[in-house]
Amino acid sequence: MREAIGVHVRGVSHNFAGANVIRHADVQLKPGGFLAIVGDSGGGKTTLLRLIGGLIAPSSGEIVFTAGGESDSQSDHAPRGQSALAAAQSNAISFCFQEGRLLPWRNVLQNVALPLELNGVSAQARLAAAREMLAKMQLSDSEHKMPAQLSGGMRMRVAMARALVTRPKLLLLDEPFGALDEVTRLALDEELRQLWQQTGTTAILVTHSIQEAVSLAQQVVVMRGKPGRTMPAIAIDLPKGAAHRTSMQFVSLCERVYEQMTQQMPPQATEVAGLAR
Amino acid sequence: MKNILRVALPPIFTAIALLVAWEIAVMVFKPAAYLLPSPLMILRAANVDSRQLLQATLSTAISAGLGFVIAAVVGMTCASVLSQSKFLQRGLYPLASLFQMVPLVAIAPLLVIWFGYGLSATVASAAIVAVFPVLANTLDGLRSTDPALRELFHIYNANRFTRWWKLELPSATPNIVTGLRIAAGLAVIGTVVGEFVSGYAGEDAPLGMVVLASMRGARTDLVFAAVALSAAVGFVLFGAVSFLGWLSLRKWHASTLIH
Ligand SMILES: Nc1ncnc2c1ncn2[C@@H]1O[C@H](COP(=O)(O)OP(=O)(O)OP(=O)(O)O)[C@@H](O)[C@H]1O
Ligand SMILES: [Mg+2]
Repeated sequence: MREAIGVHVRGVSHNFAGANVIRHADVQLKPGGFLAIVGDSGGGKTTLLRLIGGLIAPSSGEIVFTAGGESDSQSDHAPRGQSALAAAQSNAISFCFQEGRLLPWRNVLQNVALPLELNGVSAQARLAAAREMLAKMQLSDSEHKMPAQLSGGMRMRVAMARALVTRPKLLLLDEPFGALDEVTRLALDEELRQLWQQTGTTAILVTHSIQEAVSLAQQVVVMRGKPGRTMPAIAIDLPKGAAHRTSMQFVSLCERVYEQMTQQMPPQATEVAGLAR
Repeated sequence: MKNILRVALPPIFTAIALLVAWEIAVMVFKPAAYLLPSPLMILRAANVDSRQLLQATLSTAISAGLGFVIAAVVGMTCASVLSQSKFLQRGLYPLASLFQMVPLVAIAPLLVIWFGYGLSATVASAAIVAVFPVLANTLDGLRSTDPALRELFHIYNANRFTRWWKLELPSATPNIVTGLRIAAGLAVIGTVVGEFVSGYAGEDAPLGMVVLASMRGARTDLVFAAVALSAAVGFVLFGAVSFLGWLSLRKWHASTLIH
């Protein structure tokens, strides 16, 4: 099995054409950890995920990958080891995009096998791997369907299977289960949790569901405001699994996340420093 | 089957109604036969000269078909090359569009000078008019590939060729089919124009020459027959291309859904 990688986001800001979208985000995640990001729509969650995956470079700050002592970084001023994009391109990082991004001319099976195909894996091996992932996502019956014939939720599950098929060291998930009914969602949450445990991958999950965040992650980070900022991480120290979603502890943790999402925002560290200067 | 009938029956009925009206109009007004023959007169004339007309149709069909295939291959290849380079696109595409403005009739004599009388000149003439719509539509399709999917292939570290073959080309298929359908009709027009200028008389004269010769002999019925046959060639080519396009798109593209 591949070794998982940790992620260190330090004071990252990002501007799109001059507009500040993320301001001074800090996230820390150890190898093999599970982090959930929740927050307002348009708060910069997708952007943060793209920054971490190296699809865009931060305007300032740095993103460092850690793996057993070694660290690679991706930023404007830090020395470049293996960049995040290179890691993604070697299939160490894998994305599950909010919009799915399936190829409409390929059936489900061929879509899931795509990353392996482009990596030169033999047809037999990649189809076997794709079938295995489809089974985990409860899509075995649909492997010959075309994306246009799928429901929104099924499409996201296909995208998820495609993200997992490469057995990534770092998995970036952008609201994968947003379009699902509650029952399927719970089942797939459980599947994701087990996959995470079995593969030992590091996972970052963006979600709108506080309960999903609290029940899956080891820490929850709330992103708020425009420009988006990260609040201090809330550590989740709970036994995992759907059965625990009704425990007192679970409920009170959800409440804490909710409070962070709704309470008055504390002044930002950088602004305070700026005033002092 | 039901769907096919529902699509095919209305135009067939309309065509039959028009032909009947034409026949009746000729019976009533009795224009001179060299001005306007009736459908039945055309049919009888065609029947008498059926061997020569079939020969001519075959010749025209071969020329249009070859011209179409050349246009398709050249157009798609050029578009693929242009799509990979902004520099080439800026340099060459405007020229290609200008080239398209040159009237074919004006350059047809040049083709005769270069290729002589006969098949090669008519094939060239067909290819020249048919190539631009293939090129333009293919290029359009290749360039409008969803940027999100491009990013996906970028993440998967796909090289240019793979990206073209597995992403850009499939996503351009609807545009390519559109281009090819336009080209199918134009190839026949190009062929007949070429035949007017460079065709050859005699036993195996193509339809364009049949039109010219019959006009000179005031055989309007044969002119009509030849025109109808060249339209039929275009129709068959267009139908074949549409069918192939439908086959390649039916599984995933909205344009193929029958409403
Ligand atoms: N490519 C881009 N160019 C310009 N602005 C962008 C771009 N991508 C995102 N933005 C802006 O950045 C802000 C954050 O967008 P982002 O997609 O990260 O939000 P989000 O938290 O993922 O929202 P949601 O929960 O709705 O998915 C938005 O205001 C958006 O308009
Ligand atoms: Mg988003």
